[in-house]
Amino acid sequence: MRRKERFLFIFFILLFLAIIILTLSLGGLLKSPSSILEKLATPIGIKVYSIFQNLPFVSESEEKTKLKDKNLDFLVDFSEIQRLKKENAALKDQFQTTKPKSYDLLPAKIVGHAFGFVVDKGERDGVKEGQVAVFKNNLVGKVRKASSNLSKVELIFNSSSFTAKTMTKGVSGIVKGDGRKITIDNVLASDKIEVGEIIVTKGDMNLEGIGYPPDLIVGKIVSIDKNPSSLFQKAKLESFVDFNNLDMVFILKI
Amino acid sequence: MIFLFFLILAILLEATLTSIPIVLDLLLVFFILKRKSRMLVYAFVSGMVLDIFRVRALGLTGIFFIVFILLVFLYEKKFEIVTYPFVFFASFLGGIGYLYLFSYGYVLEQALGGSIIAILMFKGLSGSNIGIQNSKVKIQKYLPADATHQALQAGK
Repeated sequence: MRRKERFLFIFFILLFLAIIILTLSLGGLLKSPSSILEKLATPIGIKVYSIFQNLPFVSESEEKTKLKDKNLDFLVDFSEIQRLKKENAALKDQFQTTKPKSYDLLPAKIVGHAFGFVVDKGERDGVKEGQVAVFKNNLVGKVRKASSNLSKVELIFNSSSFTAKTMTKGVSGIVKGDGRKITIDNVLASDKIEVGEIIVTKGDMNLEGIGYPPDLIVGKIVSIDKNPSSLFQKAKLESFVDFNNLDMVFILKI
Repeated sequence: MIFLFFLILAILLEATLTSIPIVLDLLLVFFILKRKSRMLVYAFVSGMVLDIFRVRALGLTGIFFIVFILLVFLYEKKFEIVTYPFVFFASFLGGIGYLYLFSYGYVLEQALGGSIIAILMFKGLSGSNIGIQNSKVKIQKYLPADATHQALQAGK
């Protein structure tokens, strides 16, 4: 009986304490202490993450990583050429001029990885919820939550939904992530899409500059699901980013 | 000391690499083997640390962990808990609740993975000296709950 009483006594004390901490935390009154704790935790997280990333059975071979990096660089160049082509055409037409916006890229190291990234930049560095994370012009995800020194980035294949288009023909659709894969849906059945085509963001930003900017690479089409009786078709996408081997992303700030 | 070492390792793993509830499994296994009230304190503190690493509201994981330990404690009063089936089902159900609460994907797969890890930890720690060196509990494979209770009482 004494053991039970002691156990319940400790339980209720800790529960009370936890509820107080939770209430204060939700009310934003614990920002300073949690900021100090985050500062202490961040270098440990980075160190442990890099140790595990460098384990032979976790990391890829150097050659493969180099090739993937090179491939991404080519992709970035290709995407830039396509954008310049369109811009040039628009200027020639003199009807529409696309003004390239300049973005600030905030480098952020990955502290943790599990259904999203936790990165070492937070509100103090100007990170806001809704900003996007990129890696070499490739869309990685969106900031879901930002604390003082850390932020949580939700990856594109989790539960994101935004408008996108094919890079060459500009066929539009909605990119959705269901936690396992990325698909582009709501593409008109009359529009022609092909396997291997590159999908880029169409641009979903609000007035504060929060959201998805245009022309970020989402991935390439790997399979198409077209039903003759349906108005729309959808396609499965594959990102060019190897999420498991990333150790840094860039938060896009306007 | 051994427990603390494993707990720190589990926290670091769960904070940086995986969303499988390893810390929950470890707390469960050690509570079953040790049956100490101070496991609640460890649960509370490890929950706070995970909240910091995972950018969650402080205290949320701690509440989940201590309530989970309380449920195991209450179950212990009525039934035998030092068994493999209990470890499996408790870690599985706890894992589902944990993963669902914190909106992770692959809930069933991860909960199942967590249960397998819990079983392995339970097997490893109960079979070795480190797990139950100071414990009053031994695994009662064939004895019914009453006999195990008597064995526990005799141990005291």
